[in-house]
Amino acid sequence: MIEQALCRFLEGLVPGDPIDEHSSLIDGGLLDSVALVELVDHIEITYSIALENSDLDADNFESVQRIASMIRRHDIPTP
Amino acid sequence: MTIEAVADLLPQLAQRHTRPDWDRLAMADMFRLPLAPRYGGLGLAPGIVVEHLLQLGRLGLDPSVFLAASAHLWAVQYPIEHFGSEMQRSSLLPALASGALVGAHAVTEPDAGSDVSGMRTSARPVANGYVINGRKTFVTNGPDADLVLLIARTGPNAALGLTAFLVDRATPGLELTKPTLVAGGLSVAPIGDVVFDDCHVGSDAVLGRPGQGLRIFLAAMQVERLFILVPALGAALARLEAGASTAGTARNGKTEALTDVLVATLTARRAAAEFTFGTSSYWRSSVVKLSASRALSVAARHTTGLDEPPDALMHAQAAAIYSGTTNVHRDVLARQLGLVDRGHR
Repeated sequence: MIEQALCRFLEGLVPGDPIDEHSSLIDGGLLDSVALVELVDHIEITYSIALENSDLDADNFESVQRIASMIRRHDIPTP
Repeated sequence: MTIEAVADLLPQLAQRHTRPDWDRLAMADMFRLPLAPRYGGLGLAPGIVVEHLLQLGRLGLDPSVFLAASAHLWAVQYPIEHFGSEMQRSSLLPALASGALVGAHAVTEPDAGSDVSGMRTSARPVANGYVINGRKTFVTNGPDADLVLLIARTGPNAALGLTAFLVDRATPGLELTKPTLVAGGLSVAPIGDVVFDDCHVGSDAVLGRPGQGLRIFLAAMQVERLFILVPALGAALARLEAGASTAGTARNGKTEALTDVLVATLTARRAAAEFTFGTSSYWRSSVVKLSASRALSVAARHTTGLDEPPDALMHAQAAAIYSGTTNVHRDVLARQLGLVDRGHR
């Protein structure tokens, strides 16, 4: 499941408290600029998608739930 | 061409150009070291590039030429190879690698420094491209640049609203100022401002994709900070090895300096051999830069004679500032060590 995988990745990226799909990532200060770039890289490589300029809006990265929704809007290649 | 052969040519080359040190590095294939062979490069792995840079440092050039050369190689040529379209790569990389084209990386702004979140230079989408407005400062190679790699704001978010552009110096609305910073230790690294006044560029000027600007900037800084002081370490080793034998407290000081330079060199070798892109290893470049600038400062104090110009000392002071100040690198390490409050990053 995309949400669970993203939570585990983010917990590795910003060690500390557990992250769930509703954690406030940007407004809550969990992700700084560098971590956000790393997250975008991770998403593009893991799901073989190219995020568009319209995707790169902070609102799409505010929670794991929103990130997963954005990923699902792309055609994710089946393995 | 071997380094020895280049050294033999130095006196002739010095008569030929106004930037002889730059040409010497180009002739010694510095810009070809990491580049893929299909663009005219040697395709060497980072761990091997370090060894070549240590040797280039022994050519006896003005140390600040490596600031100019590193900005060109690591902050312009390297990002184009890794993020550019095939058209951008094939049209630009061979000329950059030969040193015929000079590249400059424009990111710092008068009111924001290198804090990209405060960047104001904007690129506004219009039909067929973008209109750029703003001013970049402390741009190494700015006055001589044929090609400017610009990071500009295309959206509101600090991390996701930045885009990289490649702008030819002849583009209307682009002005390269005369050198604005003439500082000790930076004598052959021209530094100036780059001004954009309704500068219209096509969509094909975007490097990578819109929104990838911070990614490209970080990738450039990761390699630049890893390699920029390696030639100076080679030069310091050469000076320490060449000095007259000393005794007593002078010998202790020299031994201390040699130890520091060797430790910094080993750090650079290890970091280069294990090099991978990404935030999980950005901090390693900061360790190399901090370690090297500290070692260069110690070495310069112990190799600068009273009757000679203090080039190495002045360069060591400058080296603690360019490509990220010592405080910037301490912040990177604090972040890596979890010493930064999450809400205040």
